Formats: sequence, structure tokens, C-alpha cells
Amino acid sequence: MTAQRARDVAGLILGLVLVLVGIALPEERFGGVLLGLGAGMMGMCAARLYTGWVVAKDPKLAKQVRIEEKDERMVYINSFAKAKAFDFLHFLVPPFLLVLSLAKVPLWILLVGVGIYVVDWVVYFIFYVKKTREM
Amino acid sequence: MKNRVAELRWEREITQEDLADALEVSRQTISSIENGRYNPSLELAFRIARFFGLSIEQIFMFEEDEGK
Repeated sequence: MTAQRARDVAGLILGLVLVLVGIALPEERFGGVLLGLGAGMMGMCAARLYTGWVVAKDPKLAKQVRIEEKDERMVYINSFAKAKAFDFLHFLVPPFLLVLSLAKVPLWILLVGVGIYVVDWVVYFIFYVKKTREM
Repeated sequence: MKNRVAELRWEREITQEDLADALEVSRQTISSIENGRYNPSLELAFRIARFFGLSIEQIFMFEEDEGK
């Protein structure tokens, strides 16, 4: 079993556990949130396992998938799209946090939002410094 | 950057699929290189040159006014 497949099986089981806990818990104790998270995780992992199973049965398709995953143009396009999405997200988050603060949402929600924003930048700088030292 | 990939491929009667297979890249990448929409990495340029038995300079031509 490959590492990715093992992670997907673990994710499927964890998703199922979250769904069951979500069903058992009442709504006011985040039952709905857990149910949604679990269902999402199960769906994602099941889709990846199914795709892997289909690809494993067809050597020609497996080769094509392997080539497309490693293809430098595809890697570049994917990285470029992710970088643009990162820029766009960081353009959207500050005004969104401002709207949240004006809407007088509980402070902890605002702090979680700011925390996620800061962590994202920290991750960016960690990789920036790491790659600058490597190259 | 101009290149002679399409010309060399036609001379040798190789399809884009065959070249893509040999270089382990997608057919779209070969098509993009041939049309000048994508400049390959140095590593892929070397692999292309090796495939055709030529040097990189014989396949890829740098144009001085590029990037200005």
C-alpha cells in the first residue's frame, strides 16, 4: 500500500468517525460541523481511492497520469495558479476581517481569522527563507 | 526564444506523442514549446537536445531583444 493510499484509508475512517460523532452530538455542541467535516473528508478520500483504483487497472492511463503529474509545464501552471490564488486570498482577507469587526462578531472569531492570516504569511516566509538558502 | 523542435521532428518523421513519450512530458508541452508559448527548463532543453543528437544552441536560439 502506498503512503498516499494509506493516508486516504485513514482519512476515510476518520471521516466516518466524525460523521458518527456528528450524528450523535446535538447541534449546539458542533454536531452539524463535525458531520459536515466528516462527510467532506470521506468524499475526498473515497474519490482519491477510486481514482487510484481506476488508474491502477490501466497501465497506459497510469503512465499518462504519472507523466502529467511530473510534467514541468503542468507543475509551473499549477504553481502559478496557486500563487495567484494566494495573492487574491490575501487581498480579500483584510477587508473581510474588517467587515467581521464592524459586524461585531465575537472577538475569538476575529482572532481566529487574524491568526489564520498571520500563520499563512509565516508559512510563506518559512518557505521563502528555506528556498533562498537552498538556491 | 525561438526553437527548431517542430522542424527537427518533421525531418525525423516523429509525432508529438512519440517525442512526448520519449521525453516523459505531455504532448501539450511539446506543442507549447514548438509554438513558442513555453520555454522549457534547462534540464528539458538538454533532454530534447540529446534526443535529437544536437547541442542546445543548435535547437534553441536566444533573441537579444527578449525581455526588454
